[in-house]
Formats: sequence, structure tokens, C-alpha cells
Amino acid sequence: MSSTLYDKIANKSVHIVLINPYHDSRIAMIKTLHKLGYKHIFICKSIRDLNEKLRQTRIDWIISTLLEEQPIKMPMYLYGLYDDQFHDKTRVSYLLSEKQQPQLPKAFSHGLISWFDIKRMEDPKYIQQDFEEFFGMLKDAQDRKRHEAFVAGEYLRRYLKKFMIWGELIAMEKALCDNFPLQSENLVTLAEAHFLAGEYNRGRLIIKQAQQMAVESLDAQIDALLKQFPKALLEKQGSVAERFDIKNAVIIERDEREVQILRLALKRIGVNEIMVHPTYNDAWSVLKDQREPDLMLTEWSTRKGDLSTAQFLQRVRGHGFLKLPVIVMINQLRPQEAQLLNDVHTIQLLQKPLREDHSVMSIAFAIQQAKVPTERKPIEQQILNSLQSGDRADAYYLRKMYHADAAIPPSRKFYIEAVFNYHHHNYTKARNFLIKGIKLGATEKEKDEIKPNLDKTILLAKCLFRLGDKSIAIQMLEKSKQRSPYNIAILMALMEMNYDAGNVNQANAAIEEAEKIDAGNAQVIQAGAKLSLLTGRVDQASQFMSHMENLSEIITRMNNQAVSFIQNGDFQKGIELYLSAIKSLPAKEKDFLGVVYYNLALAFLRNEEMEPGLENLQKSASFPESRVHKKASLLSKKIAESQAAGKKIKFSKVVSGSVDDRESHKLLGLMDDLVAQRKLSVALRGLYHFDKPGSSYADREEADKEAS
Amino acid sequence: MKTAMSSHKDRRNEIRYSMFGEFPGKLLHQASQDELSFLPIDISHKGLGLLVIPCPSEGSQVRVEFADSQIPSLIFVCRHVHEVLDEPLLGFENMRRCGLELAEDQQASLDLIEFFARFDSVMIGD
Repeated sequence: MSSTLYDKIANKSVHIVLINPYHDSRIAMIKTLHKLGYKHIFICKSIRDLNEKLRQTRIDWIISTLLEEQPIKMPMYLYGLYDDQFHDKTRVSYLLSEKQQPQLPKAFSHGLISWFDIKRMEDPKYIQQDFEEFFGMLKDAQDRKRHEAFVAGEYLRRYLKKFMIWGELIAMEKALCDNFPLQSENLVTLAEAHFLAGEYNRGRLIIKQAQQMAVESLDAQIDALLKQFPKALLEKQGSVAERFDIKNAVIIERDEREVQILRLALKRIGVNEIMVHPTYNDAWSVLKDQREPDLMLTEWSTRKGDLSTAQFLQRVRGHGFLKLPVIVMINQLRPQEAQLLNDVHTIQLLQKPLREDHSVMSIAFAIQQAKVPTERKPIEQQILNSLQSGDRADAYYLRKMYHADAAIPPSRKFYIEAVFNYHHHNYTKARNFLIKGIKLGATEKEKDEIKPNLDKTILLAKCLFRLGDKSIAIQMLEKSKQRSPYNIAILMALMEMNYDAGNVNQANAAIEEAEKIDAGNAQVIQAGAKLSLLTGRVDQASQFMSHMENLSEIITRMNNQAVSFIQNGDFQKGIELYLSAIKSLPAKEKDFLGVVYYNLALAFLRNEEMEPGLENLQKSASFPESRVHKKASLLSKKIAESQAAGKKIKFSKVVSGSVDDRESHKLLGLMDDLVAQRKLSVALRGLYHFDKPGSSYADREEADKEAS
Repeated sequence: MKTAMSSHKDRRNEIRYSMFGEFPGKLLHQASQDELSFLPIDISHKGLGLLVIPCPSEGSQVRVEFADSQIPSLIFVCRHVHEVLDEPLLGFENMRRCGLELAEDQQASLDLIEFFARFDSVMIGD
């Protein structure tokens, strides 16, 4: 924690490691640190040296150059440093030349706390100035009870602004907003980033959010910002698409007349990039590999030889396109189909044959409600989407608006409070709010004509399940299933709950039903594979896995589940799960086979079963294509050497996470993005992500090298 | 009598449900017989919330006339009108959100939720 580092800096007990190969600069820094009253300064020459020091003593702060001339460089070290909880209290600052500064975004995403210009580190006056500024920032953060991410954020911001890297600046400011949604001043800095990038419409929307927060201290900041960017005030008007940042739209419709009307309507709204797909198969094959579109208009169809709209829209939502506003054009609907349209959060219905003027109005209003909702239902939906996709700043802002709306009855406000409590793992409170809401709403007449909000029912079932009322939870979902029999999300939740409650047959039945609805749905395949692995049905698991485009998620989940079994004392069950996975993985998946053998080996080794551990380690090393090949080879060599020398290697036990982190408490995780998974750790690590294309794999390889 | 535009959303005391889609008919200003463009937003047993262009004034009457002549027209009184956005959308400057109440003589015999739920093109949800 920053407070810990600052406390140690303030009371001069901080243990500092300085790695600076430049003699003059190193001497100047040591002298300055001594002058400032710091006595515990250790000089290291390399990472190896640093590791040795870490074994001997506590290290709070590492100040280092990148060590580019050395075999193990500082960025590689930083990449893996915080994987080990032992280092959670150590902070790293870089000493950089201007040429090296482009490494900063990646370093901050790995946990860097600050950086200093190496040129200035030769003059004691500047050294003192720069260090005192850093200490001042840590103090300010501590006084204002702010996370140290804000200190790291300020250092990254300086670099991004200097080199005008606006996209990254927006990403970083957004990360701070989403992770600290109650600190509304972040909104002003996010708006500034958009203005700097020339995105005046987006910036203005954020300013509007900030203004509605009604925080007095924000007003002056907003005024100052608008004075700095007068263009933001001038460029107010624009088409609907410009105002709400809608750049493209996808149309799925075969009737040329309707497509033509939609094109005209979208043109009037200002959407210029339009993709038309005549079939769902065609649309899905394109969309699944693209980023989330801004708008979708689709017919309602159940044509043979093509995906149905119900299948398609559930795939779209399951793929993570949660915020995409979907408008459905219909001729006729059956009640259960209408319920499904409600469940997948269709934002508007258009009756065919379309009328241009009416379409313009409907689409414009749908866009507005999707982006800046003012009506009850779109606000509720947006809150859920925002929490699920991690846009917590938006969620908190909308919650405030929702509660301020006197026209919304208390029964519904309880629902939103339940959503937020559930997100923060407060399941008892969430359940109580939902029940209060239901009781208050009991005066409302139950009507078949009204499509129920099944999100609410599912949320209550999940709360009850997590609180141990498993059979009631399952019964509630069964009832929801009757109401919406084509809803795959309900079946997936039923599968997981039934498996967890020991009802394996019912869990299987839920998968079979889901397969009947859409056997090609990625969530169904994933759930089927998981259930087959858990129940040891290797052939079936193989079959599911052969249909999966990406095995990473299922392998990670399976590994977590096995670790969880072992943590909870069921070693054999964990081992069986690994073995099921090995038998089920297609032979071509050599990378994953290597990984699973490696994890299996570690499980044995940690359980002090050296022989099977070594055997599986060697099997893992026999897959040169695997990302863990080098690790496995080196570890097996190390074990063999130790055994030959008669020494015993001790493996750390699996670190038990908090109760909430364990996979057994995440059984619903397959469907449940609503629960906050965020864990704050070091500086911006885990909050801000930097994914420069093409760089990540090489990094991982290098880090693996380092780890081994 | 309220003037021009109320600052709050319409003040129906009944529970409102969301409604979207299209009515199979048209909305007419009762006095002028002008057709109004509209979008349904929400519904209660006796009232409707709509987006309307051009918006009728508060107190005036409007009529929903159905394509199927077998279905009797519904008469509503415009109770409240308010702005949709602080900054109106280009092309939608005259669009307003308005609250309509079913005419008193029709209230006893008609439940709007039951009535509108019969149409496929309208979705009423919690």
C-alpha cells in the first residue's frame, strides 16, 4: 500500500535499493538520499544481486535503470514481481532517458509507481526536487485517502501528455474513473483527455455527468477546463450519431425495401458506416471476430438453414456485446419470443413494413437511451451493463440519477440497490433489498401481459444460492425457465447450480436443453465441456472441446477448479480433474497439454509426491510447443540435481485466496460477470492495461525465462 | 392549469411499466385532426407516456385511432409535457415527452395494459 511506503519514507525507516550503473549519478543520488535522512540504502548491480538482497532483508522501494545491457532486464523483472504476494509491499521507480520513455505505459500496467529523468539525477538539487515531489504526492494521496494508483497515474499522465498519446491517456483516465467511481473529480480529467484527443462530443457528455454529480468543488474545475477548451462549448450541435458517438451500424435483413428505408433513416441520423448482412450465419461469422458495433438493427426470423434471431442475439450478448443497442423489426411475435426479446435487452421494436419517418424517430430515441438514458428501464439496463463490463463510473453516475428520479417507485429502487450490493459481494443485503422490493411491489397487479424482468428473478436466485438456499434458488430458475424457455442464460445458471447441489442428472439435462436451443452457442459448449470434465466424462468433454475456438478460458477455469478442490482438502478430486482434462484435450493442443501436465506436476510436488510430480513435469517438458516448456525443463532439471545431491526442494503450498476468490464460490462465474472481480494491488497494476499489439507474447516468454 | 412545460415527468400515481414498439394505428390531435408522430415509452392502467412531435398542449385532447376499424378509438387528455433532453437533438427540436390520461368516461371499462398487450408490435415489460 502507498500509505505503508509513505509512512516509511516519513519516519525515515524506508529500505531503498538503488540500481544505477552510472557512477556519478549513483553517487549524487546516494548523497542526496543521505542528506534527506535516509540511512537504509542498498546498492545492487543486477537483478541477481537484488534477489539476493530481497532474501536477506525487507526492501520497500527499488529505484532502478532499465538495465538494458544486462541479461535480466528491469522490465522483465517488474513483469513478474507482483505475481508473488511476498513482494506486495515493494514499490519500483524507474530512472529513464528520454529514449527509454516509451516503455512507461507497459511498466505502469505492470505496477511501476513512478519514474525520474536520469539526466536530472546527476544534479543533487534536481534529485532532491524530484524525490520530494514524489514524497509529496504519496503524502497527498494518503491525506486524501486516495489509492496510490493516483500517484502512478500522475507520472504516467506526464509522459502521455508530453508525447500526445491521447488514446492511452483516455484509457488510463477511464481506468481510474471505473475503479474509483465515487471520486468524481476523475470525470473532469477523463473529459480533459477526450478534449485533448479532439473528441469534443464524448468529453461534453462526461462533463455533463460531472455537472450532475452536484459536487461544488467540481464546478471550478469544470469551468477552468471549459475555458481551456472553448471549442468544446462551441461545437455543440451535430447529428444524433455525432452527439452520441455512433459511428457504425449493422443491419441484418433480407428484404431490400426494408434495408433501403433503414439506410435512409440512418443517413438522416448521421450514421455513415453501415454493414448489411442478409443472413445470421453471415453476420455472426463476421461479428464474432470484430469489436462491438455501435448499433444493430435486425429482423425477427426463424428461417431454416440459418441461425434464428433468438439464437443469434443470445450469441451476441454471450460474446460480451452487452452495450450494443439492438432494434428488432418484427411482423409477428409469439409471447415466449417476446419474452426472449425482453431478456436479451432489445431496446426498440419496429413494425414491418417500416416507415421512414417513424424509423428515424425510433432509432434516434433508442440511440439516446442507449447512450444517455433518461427513462427508467434503459437506466436499469445501463447500470447492469456498466457493472458487468467494468464501467463503474457510469454505473455509479446512473445510480445517482435513478435514485433522484421521484417518478421511479421505491420497489424498483430496491432492485438497483440489490444489484450494487450483489456486485460488491454483499449477498445478504442484496437478497434483502430484492425481497423488500418484491413486498412493496406486491400491491402491483400481477399481469400475464407484462413481461417480467427475469434479470431480477435470476439475481434473487443467485443470492439465495450463494447464501445456501440452493433448492429454492433452483426452483426459482425452473419457474423462470417456464416463462422464457428459449433463454440459454437461465439454463446455464441451472446447470451450474444443479451441479453444485449434487444434482448431476439435472445439470446434464440443462445442458441438453441448451444444446437443443443452440448447440453452437459458445457458452453452451463451454458449460458442456466444464460439466463433462467435472463429471469425468472424457469422450463428451473431448467432443465439446473440439468445437471450441479458444481453449484458454476452459483450461484456466479447470485449473482454478482443481486448485480449489486441493485447497479444500480434496486432493484426489483435483488430480482427477487434471487427468480428465489431459484425456479430453485434442492431441493437436500441444501448448495446453504442456500447461496441464505442468500444473498436475506442481500439484503433486506441492503435496510432496516427488515421483509422480517429476514424471508429469517431464511429460510437460516433452511438448516443446508449450509456453511452459522451458519452465518445465528447468524445474525438472533442478529437481533431478537436488535429488542427486541428496537435497530436498520445498515447494510452497498453494496460496489460499479469500473465500470470494475461490472457484467453488465462482461456480456461477460462467454466467456471472456482475460480481466485481477487481482486486486492487500495486499502483495501476490490474487497473490499467497496456496491450501494444505483437508485444505481449514475447514479454511472456521473457518473463517465463526470468521466472525459471 | 399548468403552463407550457412542466419540469417533472408526468405525475401519474399508478405504477408504470415500460412499453416500446408501435401502435397499429395513429395519434390525432382531437381539435385539429392533425396526425402526430409518436413513440410509446411507458404505460399504466389509465395512462400512457409518449414521445410526440408536434406535442399537444397540456389539457388538450388526442385520439388513438386503430388501423382495424373494429377497435374503438381511445381518447386521452394531455396532462404533462416536458423536454426530453437539455440540448435537443438536431432534427428533433420539437420532440417532447408527454403524459396522457385516458378520458374519464373510458376509464371504468378499459385497462390500458390489457388492451395494448394484445398487439404483437407492442412490448410491455417490468
